[in-house]
Amino acid sequence: MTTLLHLQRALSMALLEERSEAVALPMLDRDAQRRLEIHRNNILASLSEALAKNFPVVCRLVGRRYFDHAAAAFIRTAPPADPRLSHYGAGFGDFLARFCPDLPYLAEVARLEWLVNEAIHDGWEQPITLAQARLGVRSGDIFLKLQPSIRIFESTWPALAVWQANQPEVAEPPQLEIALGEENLLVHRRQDKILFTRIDPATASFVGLLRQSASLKDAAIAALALDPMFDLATALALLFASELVIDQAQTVPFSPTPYQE
Amino acid sequence: MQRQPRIDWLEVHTENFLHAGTSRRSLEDVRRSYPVSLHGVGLSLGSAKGIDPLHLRRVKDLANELQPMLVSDHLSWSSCEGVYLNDLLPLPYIRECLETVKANVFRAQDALGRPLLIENPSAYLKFSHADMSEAQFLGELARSTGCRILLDLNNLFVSAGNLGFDALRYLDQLPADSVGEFHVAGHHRRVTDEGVILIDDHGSSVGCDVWHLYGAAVRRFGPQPTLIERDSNLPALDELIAEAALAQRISSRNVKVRVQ
Repeated sequence: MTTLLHLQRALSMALLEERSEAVALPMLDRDAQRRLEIHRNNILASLSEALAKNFPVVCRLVGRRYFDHAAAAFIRTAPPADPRLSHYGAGFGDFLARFCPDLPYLAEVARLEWLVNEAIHDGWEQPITLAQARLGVRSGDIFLKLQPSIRIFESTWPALAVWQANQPEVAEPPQLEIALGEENLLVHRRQDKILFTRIDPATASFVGLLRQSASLKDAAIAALALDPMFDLATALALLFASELVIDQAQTVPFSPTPYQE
Repeated sequence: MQRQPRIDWLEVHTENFLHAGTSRRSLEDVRRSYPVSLHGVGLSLGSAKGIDPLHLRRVKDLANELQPMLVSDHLSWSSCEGVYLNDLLPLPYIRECLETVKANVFRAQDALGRPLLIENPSAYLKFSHADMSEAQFLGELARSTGCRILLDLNNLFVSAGNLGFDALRYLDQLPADSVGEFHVAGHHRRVTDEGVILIDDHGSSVGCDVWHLYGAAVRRFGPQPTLIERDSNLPALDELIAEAALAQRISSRNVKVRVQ
């Protein structure tokens, strides 16, 4: 192994996990131990700040001190891989579910915030209208391409009410009377504005399958299997009215070529 | 942005705009009114295992779209085997390391199709062995790769104070034609039981010592685009514009001295 790689491995470990300093120290000059602390603080403080930016509601709910405490533990177990800090924190919700199991709503709010964060950073493209989609053409399978920023939130906790009550413009969050129960949301943005639409589980499944490039027919059949009351027309009206469809494609139906001599 | 102040150009943090979201479009709006410089912290030009091709690709796409006046990053490392540490970590100035950084800079410049500017970092840690000084290392890097140097006078002041070297001698060791941009910024002094450590925080106003060093740098390297760097504790816009005007005055006065 080269000297540089050996050094970088040793320093990474010494900076992220306080143990294993011993490997790095011989390569450093005097005062190194105290000065490593400067870099260690830079790393922890800046990554904790990045998480607080991506999870502002969680931070407001628990307070910055507790947030930093939880963030420090998360950073040690799941440091970022990507220099884009706006993309740091996938998995923070699941981590919080384990880290503070006595606050189960916190993990769900974190999962919702993560989807909001993703929706902010994904693209918004010019939508097509229902007329442009030419859904009346009956041959072949139809595929609808949805806005990249669409996300589906499926939760056993009503996290949206907590999220809305803790936005920066709300100075004093009201006492919330939360009816416990499932919550399915379509999280999307129109230009710069994040929007939420409550949907039923069958519609959530339908949109989820379209996002994964399933054909319209397959997504509708799966939704109907989940809930016989699923209404395809209502679901399509929602997608088009919310400007969430950006393109459509159609496969050419199989037609055997006539045999030619 | 509504005020459209009379400033020559703006510098943004590259990694904040490597996505398709809302702030990317705001940057495109800014670009229509001002020249923009892309200043990165994520290329990790000192990584022993090379730079992340995916990250380089994203920077390249942003640069193609924005056509920035300058693209810069730092003489440091921040990624090691898939972990990004979000700090500008120091490199030992040994020959092996120079070869690694050279290869990474060549790779980045090939992808971007233009020379990079590389900034001297703030140093706190000293290695037990070095083959050359930081100025010699940077000078050799510029000579062999064609990259240019982004000389941060605050970082230089902080490093000289913390590691105990002469900042003016550092200026003399850099090739006179190698500098393409200056940064000036503030720092704070932390007093510990074992002495004073200078901490680069990008959150204080620029001190006299750093302005003095800036004057000396302009005399040696000529006037170059100069940025007042402030990432936290942002003061009122007018205070920043006043600091930029002071830089302009120091720069033009020292250029006259140089011409004489």
